[in-house]
Amino acid sequence: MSHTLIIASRELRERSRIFLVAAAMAVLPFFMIAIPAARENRPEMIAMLAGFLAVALSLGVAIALGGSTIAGELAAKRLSFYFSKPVSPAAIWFGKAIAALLTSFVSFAIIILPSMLYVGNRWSSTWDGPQLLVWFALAVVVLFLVAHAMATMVRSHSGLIGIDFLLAAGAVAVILAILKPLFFGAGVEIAIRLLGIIGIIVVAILFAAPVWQLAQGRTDLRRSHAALSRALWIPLAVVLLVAGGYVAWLMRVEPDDLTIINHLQQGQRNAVFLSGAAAGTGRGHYGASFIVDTASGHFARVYATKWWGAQFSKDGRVVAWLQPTSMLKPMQHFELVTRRVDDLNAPAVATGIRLQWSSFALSDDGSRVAVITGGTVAVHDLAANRILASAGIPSGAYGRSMYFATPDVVRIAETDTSSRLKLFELDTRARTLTKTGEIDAPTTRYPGLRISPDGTRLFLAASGILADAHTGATLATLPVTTKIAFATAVLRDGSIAIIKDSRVHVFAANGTPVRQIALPTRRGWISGEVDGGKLIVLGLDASNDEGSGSGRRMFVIDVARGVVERTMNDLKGPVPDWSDLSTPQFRANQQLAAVNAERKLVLWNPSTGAVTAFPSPR
Amino acid sequence: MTAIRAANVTIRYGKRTAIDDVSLEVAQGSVYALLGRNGAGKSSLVRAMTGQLRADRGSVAILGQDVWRKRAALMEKVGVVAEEPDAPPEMRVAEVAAFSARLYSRWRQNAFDDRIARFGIRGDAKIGELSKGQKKQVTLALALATSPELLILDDPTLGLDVVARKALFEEVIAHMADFGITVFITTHDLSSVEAVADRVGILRDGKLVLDEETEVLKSRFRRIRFASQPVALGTANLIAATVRQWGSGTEAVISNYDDLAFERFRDSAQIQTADVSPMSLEEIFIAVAGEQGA
Repeated sequence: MSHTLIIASRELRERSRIFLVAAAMAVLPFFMIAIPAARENRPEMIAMLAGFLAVALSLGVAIALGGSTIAGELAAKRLSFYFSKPVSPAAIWFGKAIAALLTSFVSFAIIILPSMLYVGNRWSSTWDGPQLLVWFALAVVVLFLVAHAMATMVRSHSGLIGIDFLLAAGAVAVILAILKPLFFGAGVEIAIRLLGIIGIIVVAILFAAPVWQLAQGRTDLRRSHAALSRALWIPLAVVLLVAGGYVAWLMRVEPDDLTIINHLQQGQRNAVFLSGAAAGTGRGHYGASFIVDTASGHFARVYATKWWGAQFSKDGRVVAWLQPTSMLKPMQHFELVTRRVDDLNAPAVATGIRLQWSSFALSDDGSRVAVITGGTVAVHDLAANRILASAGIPSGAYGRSMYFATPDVVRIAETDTSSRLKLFELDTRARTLTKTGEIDAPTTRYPGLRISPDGTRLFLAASGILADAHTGATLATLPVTTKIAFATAVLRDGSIAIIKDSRVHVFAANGTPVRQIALPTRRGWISGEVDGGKLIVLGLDASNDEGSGSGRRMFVIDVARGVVERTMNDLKGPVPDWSDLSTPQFRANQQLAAVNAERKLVLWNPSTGAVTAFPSPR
Repeated sequence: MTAIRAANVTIRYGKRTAIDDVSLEVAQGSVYALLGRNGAGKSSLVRAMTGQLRADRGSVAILGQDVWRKRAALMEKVGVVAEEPDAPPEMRVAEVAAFSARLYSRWRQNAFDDRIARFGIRGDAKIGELSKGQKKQVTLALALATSPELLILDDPTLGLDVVARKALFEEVIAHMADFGITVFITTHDLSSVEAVADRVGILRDGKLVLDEETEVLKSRFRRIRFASQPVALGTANLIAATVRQWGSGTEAVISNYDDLAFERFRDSAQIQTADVSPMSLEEIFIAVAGEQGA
């Protein structure tokens, strides 16, 4: 028998009294019978009490033995009993650790087994099976190891303990600093996995470090403490260095590295909001987001949630997005962040505005933002960092969309479960919220709302209703409807385009059908409108590769002439976003960003069809 | 062959130096007695010799091997009796023996049983219930049952009664020496150790101030009592370890006594009355280690 097992069996024999205590506690739940109130749910009560007693005793034993099994003997100068014998430090530690952990686990089993046998199947309805056991076992191991480390440090009465606590606090701070960009950069899965790996390694270090502690410190408590500290902090520093290096490498991902594009939005200027992942390159699904200048290729990394895209101001000078603020709930708590895109050196500005979902709208020049939080709508002046106006809005809405009708007026379209879409306006000068109109629409829960570029009219794609955006008065009802808002656009000249059944249906501003244009794809999204009345359409042909442009097609449609002017194969972009209430407007000859079949970012010119490589910032 | 070789060993506890550049050798089969007052550093040196404490400087080799690196293997051949009894108090004497038996390949159960019986200790007695002396006896019985090549005893007489002390030195240590087993012992029982120690070392404030064969040591130390104030002993190349007033005369402890040299000195100094007497190890120890901080 190895020395480890010899020591373990000796230690176990010494702990045998704990098993007697456990046996006594195992009987305790059965006395519940004597309590009248517990008779009704007797099996559940027995299971519950046995579980609590077992966990309490086992965890208590783990902490007590962790604190005494080495540190206590060192302090009592009794560890020489082992060191004067032909046994290695590893045998001493592992023998003692195995005995302590077995004591804890066996105590647990002694308490719960009689109750389990008595209660039968009802046990599993009170205590959730194997997963709970795994967590319990992990807790026992961790508490034992932490108690050992802390007891060694505290009992040594060495000044080193101050350094230990500083290093522990530093380690926690470093771990948070390492994980923060992952949580905030939509890398929650990686952060959790990394945290798990760090946790496992820390437990492994805690389990192995006492071997070094005993090998170097032996029977001297202070030297033992010093050795333990070295064995803990140096490997932990290495682990954190590697983890930090890995995260730094993750974060060094560049737009060109992305292999999956989640968001590819483009404003009127040369800026693109790009979000995606470099899957397949060892970076997992770390979600990286960028603001990219299409003219120079220069980019800025931003922390944006991958669930929502960004909003460009209509003048294309400002972009806004949501940045997670809570590491515990990175998908629920956000701060609105803005950045000027006409100045490549402009920093991202945290507005201090906290949101729980993408319920904001930028003014046309990006100087103001309207947000809905809870039951309140408010308009903020971003430069002055103050609220211009706010008002409570009626509860019970299913969804709300809003936009700046004028620089001073925010228009809110509210849907609920009834068949009416309500229109409100918040006037920042008068500081009043007024209901301005209602629209009778049979499908208001998902109305497919689109706003005309000038904001005066709105179109409900699901019901075909074209209405005055202020009063809600119906201007026309179109015969073609779709549930997909992206498949429709209110164009700059007032006409309406609807993609349905491989056709682009074009209606005049008064709702009169103008023409139908055959589209060589069954479904499509309207990515934008180019000066001169041309539509940019993303064809939604079946593709097996969602992350790239492979199998995708972009169409340039001359609405006035009624022809598909250009078809760009194996390209995808720009992609419309849910936050765009009105169809993005592009300048004539503006280079548009897209991803090609090789998953590379490219620029293409809708006027000429020329595709060029994305400029490199270097 | 050398059983123990300590080379320039220095041990510090923080800023305090417990052992300061100590070098010594213990020949195989000999009995070495390390003497020193409380706090002189004896136990620190013993812990370094048993591989339980790493020297900050220097090294200790046991039976030709570095004890820090090869402790576990060496402990198979080394019996240790620590200053403080270290067996778990909850264990019974027989359990400690059974535990040790599984760790040592040369364990002799009969030797343990015989010795424990001779000490009058029951096998089912708990360690924690034994007196300090009995604990020492159990530890000694354990150490001897491992058939050691080297026995390291750190103050083994602490807590032992007079009879047990006598038995330890006369039966155990002398017996071990007869069988060629090396014994390294630290003790305050100088009268007993004097009879069995081949070599003596004296630690004072962490420094090894004396390391010599017992017989040579005793032959060069003499106490001389002068009826009158002495002349300078230095003129006769006699080194006085201590000089103190003795009645109306003077008492000096000479650490390099030589009959011829002293006779010459007495003649030249015309000293009429001088009483020269040999010294016990205890007296030598007091003269060497006992003056400071007495």
